[in-house]
Amino acid sequence: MSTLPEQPDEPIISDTLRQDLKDLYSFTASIPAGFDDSVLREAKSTFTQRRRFHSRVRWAIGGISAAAAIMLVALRLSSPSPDRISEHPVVMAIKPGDVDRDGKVDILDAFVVARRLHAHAPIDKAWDVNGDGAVDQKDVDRIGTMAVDISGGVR
Amino acid sequence: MRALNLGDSSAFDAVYYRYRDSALRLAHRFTGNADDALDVVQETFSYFFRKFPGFRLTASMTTFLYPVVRNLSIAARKKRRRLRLGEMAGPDPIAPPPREPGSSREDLGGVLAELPDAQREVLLMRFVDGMALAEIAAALSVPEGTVKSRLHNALHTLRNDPATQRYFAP
Repeated sequence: MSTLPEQPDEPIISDTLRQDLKDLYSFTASIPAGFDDSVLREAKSTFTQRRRFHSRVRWAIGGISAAAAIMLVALRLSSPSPDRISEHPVVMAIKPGDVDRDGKVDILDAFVVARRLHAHAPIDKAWDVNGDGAVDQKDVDRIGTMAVDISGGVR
Repeated sequence: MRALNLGDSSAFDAVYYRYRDSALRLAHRFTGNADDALDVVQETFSYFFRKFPGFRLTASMTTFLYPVVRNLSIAARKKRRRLRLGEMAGPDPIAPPPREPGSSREDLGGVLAELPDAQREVLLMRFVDGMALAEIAAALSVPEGTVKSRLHNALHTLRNDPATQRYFAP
């Protein structure tokens, strides 16, 4: 162990006492041949294994981080942000009979046409779903039939 | 430490050879057995080197090694005691071995053997191992004031014991 100077506030002992203490606890071991090499070889071998392990862990963490980053980028690209939507507006096709343009043909569409006809209100020629050139009760019935048509699913 | 963390082979050798003998002496003091002391030294350095790479030494090397050697020595002593079941227990390993009957050292050994373990340990750490009070406090995980107190009490006993009074004669 290192020999350090005594500090001013600690007791001082005589050289004789110090020497006798050292002599009492002196120990000179005969270190077996190969002992040092064995300790150092094991230390270096362990170090190499641990460094390899650390390196693998670092690679694994790096790989996982990279994969996560790629997934995030892919998700971001596949689900456009509101800004992207405003830059590239999506044009949705209006289905025949979808009078209120809510993306589906239901009984409300038939109701809207029926009310407009009954009130003699302006009508849209696109509501001529049976293609006979006029928007009338037959179109209301047709839209109603389309609304309850179970072949395309219950609405 | 930086060189050790980088795996510098010569750094392993340098640290080992610098602290081997002091670790061995300490281990022998605690175990009282040369073979056990060698095993303790081997385990101590194995434990120390296993911490690399990525180890930061926050205290002195001596402060780091002392409790490792001490704890491994205690474990070695227990192991040896278990192996000696049925045999007579050996002398207290930390007490000095009896030698030179009638000499001043033998008297000193006798008085030291009577000291409480904690006081004797601090006395030896300071004057045999040459550790500073702060290092002793850190190695034993006690306040520096406790170290001073134990040291003072140990020296008080030596000063007042007729067998060791002569060490304190003016």
